[in-house]
Amino acid sequence: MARKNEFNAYWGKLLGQAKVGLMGASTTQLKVQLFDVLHEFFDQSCCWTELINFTAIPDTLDYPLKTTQGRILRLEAVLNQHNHQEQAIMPDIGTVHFLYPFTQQQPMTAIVIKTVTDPLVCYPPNIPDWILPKHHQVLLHGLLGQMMMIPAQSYSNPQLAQFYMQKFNDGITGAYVASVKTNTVGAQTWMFPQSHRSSSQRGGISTYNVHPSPR
Amino acid sequence: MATTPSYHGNFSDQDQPTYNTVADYIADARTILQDLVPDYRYDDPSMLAALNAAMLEARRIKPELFVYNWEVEGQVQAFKAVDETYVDIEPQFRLAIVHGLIGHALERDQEDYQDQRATAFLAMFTQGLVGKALGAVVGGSPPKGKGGA
Repeated sequence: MARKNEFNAYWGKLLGQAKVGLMGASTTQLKVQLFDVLHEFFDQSCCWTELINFTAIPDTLDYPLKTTQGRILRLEAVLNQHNHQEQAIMPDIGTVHFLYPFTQQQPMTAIVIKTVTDPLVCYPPNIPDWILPKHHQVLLHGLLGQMMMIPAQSYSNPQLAQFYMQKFNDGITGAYVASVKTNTVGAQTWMFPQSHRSSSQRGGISTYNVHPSPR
Repeated sequence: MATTPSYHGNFSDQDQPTYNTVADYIADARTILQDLVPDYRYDDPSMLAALNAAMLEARRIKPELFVYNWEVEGQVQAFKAVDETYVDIEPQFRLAIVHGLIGHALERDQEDYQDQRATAFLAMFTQGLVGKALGAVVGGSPPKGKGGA
């Protein structure tokens, strides 16, 4: 319950601060623009991911995925049970397509990038709890910038809009970098590309990595 | 000093009680029009027509107020009786609707000072919807006769 109250407080803070700089704006317009801001933020930062488990079966190439919340934007990777990256693509959004069929049944994990759903219906937007406390200022800058770009309103201000959109884009870049570095500072996130990794044990090296692969 | 409890919202503007229903809007409009004694100078059908016209004009000037009616393609509410039907307008724009209602009602009067007053209320309606400061209410008293002025 405390968690939910904190979440609502951040939403109240975000819209409250936005209204200060946008006199005369309707709450409806703010919510509509907020959806667009969230979509752009998630699309460009790739910071909202989900790991979805499924089972690959022989002679089947396509596997529809089901998310717990949000909408799939793109596929980041498909890992097999040994954390090897498989050759997979997503020509149809939401369905993993393997380039080659498997000969035996085995568990797989798809990592997908997601964005918001249900414009006009779902408010507050259905996003993970950690997004707003961490990125509320970035979203505020995006919301102010988008609103101020609308022409012929009492809050229209192209110059200030440009300023806020620049800060928004900087924030997106920061969120993307944090995502790539898996929210670490100075940690080594690079690893040999897993698609090049051999599954043989020639040379006495075990390929069965017990640790999860970094992104 | 103790006072009566006031309304405080709970993240839901749908519960804000000021100007909630058709009857609320028309009652306040009649107060401003100084038309509180039956038989009314502005009868119910004419007030409903004025409210409906104000809503349609609000759709033109501030379309996003109606975007949440997307299931009916953003249609505007229409009212047929002075009753407790909820008028679905965000709280901060409800006063503008009252001004639009009054402006439309005043348009039918032919006296010059009422024309000026109607124009002032319609301007307040527009300014209230687009978020700008409201103008002055003008034309508060009728012009004097030939020997006046």
